[in-house]
This record gives sequence, C-alpha cells and structure tokens, in this order.
Amino acid sequence: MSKPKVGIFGLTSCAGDQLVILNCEDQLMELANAVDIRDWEMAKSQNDEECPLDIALVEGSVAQVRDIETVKKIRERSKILVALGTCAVWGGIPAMKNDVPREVMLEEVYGNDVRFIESKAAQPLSSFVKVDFNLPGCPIEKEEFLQMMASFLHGDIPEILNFSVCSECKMKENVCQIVYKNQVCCGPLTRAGCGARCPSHNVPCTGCHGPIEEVHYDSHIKMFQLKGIKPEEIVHKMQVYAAPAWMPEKLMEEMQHEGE
Amino acid sequence: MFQISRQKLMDGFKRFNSAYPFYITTAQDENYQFQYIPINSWEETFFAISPIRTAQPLKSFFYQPVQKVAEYPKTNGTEDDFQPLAIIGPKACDLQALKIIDKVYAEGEYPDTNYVRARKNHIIISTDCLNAGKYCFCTLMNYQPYPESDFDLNLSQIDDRFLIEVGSEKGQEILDTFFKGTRKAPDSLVKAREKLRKKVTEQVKKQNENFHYYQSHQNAIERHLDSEIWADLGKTCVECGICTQICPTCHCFLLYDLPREDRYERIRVWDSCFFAGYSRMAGGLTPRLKLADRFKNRFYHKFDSYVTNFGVEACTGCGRCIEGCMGNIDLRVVLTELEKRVVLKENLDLI
Repeated sequence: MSKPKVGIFGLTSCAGDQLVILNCEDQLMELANAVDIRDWEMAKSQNDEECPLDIALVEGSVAQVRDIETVKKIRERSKILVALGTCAVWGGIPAMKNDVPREVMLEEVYGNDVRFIESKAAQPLSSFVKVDFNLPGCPIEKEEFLQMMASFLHGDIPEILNFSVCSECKMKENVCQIVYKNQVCCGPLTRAGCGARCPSHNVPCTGCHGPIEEVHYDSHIKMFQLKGIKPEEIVHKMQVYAAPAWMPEKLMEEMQHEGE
Repeated sequence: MFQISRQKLMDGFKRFNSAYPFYITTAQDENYQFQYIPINSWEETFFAISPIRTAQPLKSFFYQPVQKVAEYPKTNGTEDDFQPLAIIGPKACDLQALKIIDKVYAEGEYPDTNYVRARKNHIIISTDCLNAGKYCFCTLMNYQPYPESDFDLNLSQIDDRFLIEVGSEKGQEILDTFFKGTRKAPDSLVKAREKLRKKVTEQVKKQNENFHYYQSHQNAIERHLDSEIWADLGKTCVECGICTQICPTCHCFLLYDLPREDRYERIRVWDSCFFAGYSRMAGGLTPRLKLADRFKNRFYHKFDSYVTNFGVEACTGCGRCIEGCMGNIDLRVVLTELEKRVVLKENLDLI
C-alpha cells in the first residue's frame, strides 16, 4: 500500500497550527515516515503544487480574496480536507471585527496609500468548500492532531469530543469559575479537547476551541443572567474566536427576545 | 468500639503512613478536598476532620475519569501502577453511594476488574459529619449524616478523645497493626457520640423541612414521562454535565479506541446522559434529541429505573449537584414539583 499523500497549507493565519505539527518532536519522524508529505510550504523547499492529495490540512481563515481561489484549488486536488485550527473552523481571530468595514480597518492600520492587500471579511473554510473534518483549537492540541492522523492512517473516522469544557474541567476537579467566582467563563459553550487548560490554572475559559455542536441559547442566557453575568459579556468573549459562527448573533437575538 | 487519645492517634497515623499513601480531607477555599500525602510524609498538621463532605465525590478513587481499560493487539502483561490508598475522611453519603455503584460494577455477572480491585484494596477511614452543609439533604433520602457500615474504620471526635469503630476485618487488622494504645470505649463516650450525631441529623432535617415527599419518586416520575414539565424545570440547564460528573452515584461511561503507532488503546471516560452524543446510535439516530428529554432521563434513571433494577434510589443526598449547578437547578425542587402535580391530579380526580 502506498503512503497517503498529504499537503499542509496555510491561508490567512499566524501559522501556529502548522507550528504545532512541527512541534510534535517525538512523533514527527514517525509521522513523516507514515505519510508522504508532498506540499508544505512552511517546512519544505521542494513542493509539488499540482499533484492530487489524499489528505489536505488547511489552516487559517479566508480573509483575502486570493484565499478563495487557494482553498478551492486545494479542495479540487484532495480526497479529505481538514480544517485545522479555530481560524479554519470558525473564522477565528481575523473575524473578530467583521462588522467593521475593511476599508476603515486598512486605513487605520496602513494609512491612505497602501492598496496591496485585497482584504475581505474573514470566513471559515466551510463558507466556500466542503470540509470533511474539523479540528478546532487556537492552536490545535498536539495530542488531538496526532490522534486524528493516526485514525486516518488506520482508515477510521477520528473521534471528536462532543461535549463542553465543563466536563473536562470537572474531571480535573477544578473549582467552577462561574458558580464560585462569577467569572465570564466560556466553558459551557466551548468544545472540549484542551483538558480544561485555562480553568485548571484558575483562568476562565476564553472559548478558543469555538462552540459545541449543540448550544442551548435560551438556557445559556437564563443561566448567565442568574449568575449576574451580562449576556453581552459572554457574547463579546465568544466573538474573539468564533464570531462568524452564527452563535453570538443567535445569542443576541435570544437576548432581545428575553428583554421583550 | 475503641477509644484513643489524640497523641496515640497521631502516632498511629504516622506508622500507618509508612505503609500506605494517604488522601485526607483538607479545607480549600470554601470547600473541602482530598489532599495527597505520599508514604512517610505524615505530619500532625495534616490531620483534620472536615465538617462536611468533600467537593469531589469518592468515586474517582475507584472509577477514574479517564482510564485505559484494554489494548490490542495484546502486549505482554504490562501491569499498570495500581497503588492501594488509605482514604481518610469520606462521609456517609459517599460510602452509601459506593454501595449503589457496586450494584453495577461489582455485583453483576461481569464485574469491572479495575473497580473491584480498588474496592478490595483501598482502605476507607470515614468520619462523622460535624454539621450540615448548605446543600446537604441526606435525611430526605433516608440516609444519616454518619456512617453506619461500609467503612474499614470510622473515626468520631468527642472533645479531645477519639472513638474508633471497626467496620471490617481489614479495618481490625489495620487497627491492631498500626494503632497502639486503644482501649475499649466506655458507654458514656458512645452516648456522647450518639448525642452529637443526633444534633447533626436534626440540623440536616431542619434545613430541608420545606421538602416533604409523600409519594414514591418512582410514581411521581412515571406519571410525568410524557409531560412538558421537564422543559420547564430544566430551562436553565446548559448541558455542562457537572451534575453527573460530581454525583457520587452516577457511573455512565464512554468507551473509545485510541490509535497508537502499533496498537489500539481502549479508553474509558466518564460520560453524561446530558450530552447530545450520549445515546446517539450508528447512523446518527438519537432517541433523546431534546435537552429536556435528557434532563428527564437523569431523574428517570436515578429514581425510577434504578429502583426497578436494583431496588434502591441512586441518590444519597450529598447535594453536590445543587451546589455545582450553574443554572441553580435543585434536585429537591424538581422532585417536589413533580409530586405536587401528582397530588394535585389525584385530588382533581377525587372531585
């Protein structure tokens, strides 16, 4: 059996997820032996930019016009397309201020003269192409990434944790940030996988993995109100990583509904 | 029943700690936690009888949140690092809860080897509750705030003296081996313990006096299986799963296989019936699609199907689910509401 051909790509992003792959120091050689990495601009000098791929790992959000063509081309040449990291899955930090027009932002940052960036409101990959598997995280978890790759190599569907950070937090026997400290903690809205890293260090969850599959908007609103936390605060916090996920808008709608 | 002075007890713990690592209750923030004491590091300052139960349930010593249960292809008998522990300070509600989990993991046709090994080898030195915790309601569930059975040794403090009750052969062995200078307890001391126990029991009863259950919970739940009331009662539930993770009797798990380089590992992790994926089957079918259905299921399992299958309700009144709920959902209130409606319905029928 020939090794699966893999391509690793970055759209508009910080390259942090690709860095996580490079940081798998103990397993990197095994991984490189198990798959045939054909195209990885960040780590290889000789890349085949045309060959068909079995697995494409795509990091970053679509925040420039040219990214649309790039991601469509990747989709055409690959069998499995994985959205790697919160930017690719939910839009991530580049999408945080999507409500501000890009012209305003460009002028603010680069001044009047610069016109070389064709920037657009950042969107996740799924807005443009079919995504076969989502691996969120800012950055992705090393362990989750390796498990995903191992599953693909075994011909399995990777196991995705389908519950919120709260569950992992309780397994770590942490003191609840919401119940005991009235903190704006995104734990109950955020997909698990990190092992409740922040609450374990006494920091409320920032929601970097993006929302869980099934969010109960009305219940969340009621719950946060009970704790004296303004829903605006939690929406604001969730928008840092997952603004284009329709969730914050839905939460806002629900809030208005509550107010009536 | 034996009596021991504080100094002799401390000496005993020191000797005991040379053979077993300890977990002992300790105050942390507003709660009580188990603190780990490795072998040969006992100091007198560690010793404290916590007034109420710890924040986390006792079950995690016997049934860990994440545990490798098998691997294949089978490797040549790699033993895991199981270590018998002495757990000092659990309360009656937790001991009773273990008994409830035993029915699933230890007593059936296929006992769980890891669980049974832990049950056999860990040593439990329980203590009486010194007052009623804010959320405690053991008396409502017909339990007492002091252990009567299922411990190896039970420790009660009366002024500066300690009463030790032996609950098992293993407990007697430990008492004989490590604790020197025990004397048979005089009746006056036992009576003093009874008095203290009664006081705490009354405290728990008093703070729950607004809740009365006339009906069996089983009846109340069975008559509401198709009711809309669950969505109403669980309207602030956000599916975080905390109530099940910290419940001393909840024991559902998820098995999944982790691919490693040359083998698979089968991992068992705590699951919760609140999660959308909990009852999902192949093909994506979910019998409990709505959160309200899952909310109902927790009560159905605890107070109805568990009674049918094992003859006991899967709740000991530790109150952790009330304390930990972000949405302020109170198990007592839910049961009361259900019952209120049943009584109302019956009265209406009479008319």
